[in-house]
Amino acid sequence: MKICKLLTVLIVILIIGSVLSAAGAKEKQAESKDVTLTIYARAYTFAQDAPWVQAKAELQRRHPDINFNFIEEGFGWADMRTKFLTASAGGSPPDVMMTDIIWLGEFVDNGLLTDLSDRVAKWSEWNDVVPAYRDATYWNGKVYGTWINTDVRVLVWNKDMFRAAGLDPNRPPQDWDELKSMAARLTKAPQQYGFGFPATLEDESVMKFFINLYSIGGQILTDDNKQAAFNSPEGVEALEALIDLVKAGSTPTSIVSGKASDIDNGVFQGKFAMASMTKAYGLAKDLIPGLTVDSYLNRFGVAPIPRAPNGVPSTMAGGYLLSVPSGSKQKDLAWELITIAAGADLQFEYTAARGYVPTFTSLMARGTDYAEVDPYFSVILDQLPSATFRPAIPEWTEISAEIQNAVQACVLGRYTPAQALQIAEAAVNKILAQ
Amino acid sequence: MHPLAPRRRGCSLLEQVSAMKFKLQKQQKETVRGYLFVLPVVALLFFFSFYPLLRTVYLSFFKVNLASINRMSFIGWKNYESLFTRPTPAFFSQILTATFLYVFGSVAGQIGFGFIVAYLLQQKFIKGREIFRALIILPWVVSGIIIAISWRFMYEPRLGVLNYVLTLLGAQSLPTWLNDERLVMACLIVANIWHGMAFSFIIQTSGLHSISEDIIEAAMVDGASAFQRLTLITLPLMRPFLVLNLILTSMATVNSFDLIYAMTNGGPLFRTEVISVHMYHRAFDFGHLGEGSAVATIILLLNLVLTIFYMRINRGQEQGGEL
Repeated sequence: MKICKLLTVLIVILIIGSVLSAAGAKEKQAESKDVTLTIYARAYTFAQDAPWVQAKAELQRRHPDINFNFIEEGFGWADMRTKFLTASAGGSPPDVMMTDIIWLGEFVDNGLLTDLSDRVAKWSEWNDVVPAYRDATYWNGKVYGTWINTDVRVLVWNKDMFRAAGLDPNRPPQDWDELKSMAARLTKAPQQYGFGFPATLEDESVMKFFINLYSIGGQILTDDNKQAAFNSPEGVEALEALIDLVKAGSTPTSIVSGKASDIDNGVFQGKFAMASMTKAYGLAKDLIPGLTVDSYLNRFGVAPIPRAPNGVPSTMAGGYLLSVPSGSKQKDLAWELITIAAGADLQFEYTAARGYVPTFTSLMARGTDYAEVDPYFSVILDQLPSATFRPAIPEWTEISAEIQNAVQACVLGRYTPAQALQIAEAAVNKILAQ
Repeated sequence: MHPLAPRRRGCSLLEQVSAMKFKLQKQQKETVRGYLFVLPVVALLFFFSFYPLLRTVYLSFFKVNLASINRMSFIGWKNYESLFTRPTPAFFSQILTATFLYVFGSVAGQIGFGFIVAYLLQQKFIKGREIFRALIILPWVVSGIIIAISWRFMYEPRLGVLNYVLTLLGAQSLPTWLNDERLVMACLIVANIWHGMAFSFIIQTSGLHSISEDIIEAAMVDGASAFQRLTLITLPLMRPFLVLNLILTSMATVNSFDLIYAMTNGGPLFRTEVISVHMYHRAFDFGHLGEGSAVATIILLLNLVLTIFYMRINRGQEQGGEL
């Protein structure tokens, strides 16, 4: 009896206490001007001052009456998408989301991003965005973000390894045939290999195949994005060019495990003599402490990706938008932060530091300034006319997975390129038909 | 006079009824108090275990995408149909096969090695057994992700310690371990055995401690060899512990995710895509929450089968008087 009464009293006290403290917290929040802004971005964007450190400082300077609390969450590529989807499903999305351009369709069609059309129209820097990149931010006629950077894949090679193999360190391969022969000379398995490309289950694993595909005149999907188009004579030849490197032993089958970034890192670590990648300079600085511009020039080279014999130059482009999720409770402040972080000044610092491509016309004209930071900036910029974006349709993640499986199956010798692409085509068409 | 005190002869019916009523009320109060004490735990179990479980089964009958979780449409068994009819990865020939191989290999290894090590450390000639026990338990307390990354380094074809040792031994052709479809599952099983053996070791050690020394001594006096003592006395007496170990380890391995995801992500070519990894891929990588829930429901059924199996064996032991 006594215990029952005691329990009852305790429970009542707990309930009253909870209600009072909740009321107190609300009152406190109403009185103070504390604002929390959560940012989801790639982890490496937090590795230097631009864009976030400076953008946050500027936002605080503009609003001295607000006490900002910034929550920064850095992710790997795939994790960022998964985390954003689960956070949105759970009702707690961030305020700023770094959206890969290929996720745009998926996020917008599911109502996850805020329509920023009115806001960008009032933004003083919007007209400075390169028209082609401005157009790329539209989905169904509306704008859902602005670029923090775009990127293109380039060939990066290790000049020290070239010198050791008796090759001219300043003369990279120009086409697939040269790539194959030079890669064979540079291979001393298992310590080093002539060429690396990822064949893991990641989106980057299909990039080299796509680059080859477009170089030889093929395409990924039909123009209306309703059917697969990669299973073509061009597709088979494009994939065979990659698999020939594996068969020749110039690329190890271990590319099916680990991470795609292992391949990129491998060039700077002496494992692979050549590979195609983005943000080469940023990676090199991360991996080699004390790397200077001169030593970067001396030890590594950057060039257009070898094209098909009688083919056209080709590369794949990507990049990120900064968007405001539709569930954000601080849309205005989030957008203001984006205009600062993705503005021309900070974009210059960020893209130069990482080896990315800017999206402002005014920055495209600052090639000399970029070259002081990244000596190969002009090479990167020269790839833009031959760059292709992947289709930013909602089904892209699944489509890419089927093609990743095809590439992996060929690397392991399970299927020939023709067989693998046929299987992938059937699966992709089924996905698109749903 | 106390209400429960024995009545003298001649006590009125009213008094007897009052006494019975009082006794009932007291019992009821005891019952209510008991329920109040277990209420918080039951509430926690309901909200954090039963409700999510029921919700998952419910979602498995809907088409629902992670990116649009509020838009659900009832599709009946279609998620299960997609699961069972998808050509790659094929559910029965690839996913269930990988799961079975992984579970069978891991459980056999963990229990087998756990017992062997526990038995050896019971021997009187072993010195410093506390240090050995601490070393054996160490892998168990380390996060699965750390274990996975460590083993990935060890299996690395170019720089890994395994191939380095093989090179020192003069091997000409070095295996590629995680990249080899024929070896990758064995590599995972070895890593999982190393990670989880300590749990089996602890259970088996308890079992070995429960066997009376007198029985062993009596057997020795009767002339039983070491092998006979092991097979005819120790193992039969260890049976309840072995069965418990079997069931708990099997259930834990069926649900195992982090080690495989971090080491191979189900590859290469779905060779290690066990059912838990497949659930993650469908639900989170591709956003098909309904399909992922269907896979989760199948995992639940697998665990239920194991639970029923354990309960039957346990009941059999009780009826046989083995406990």
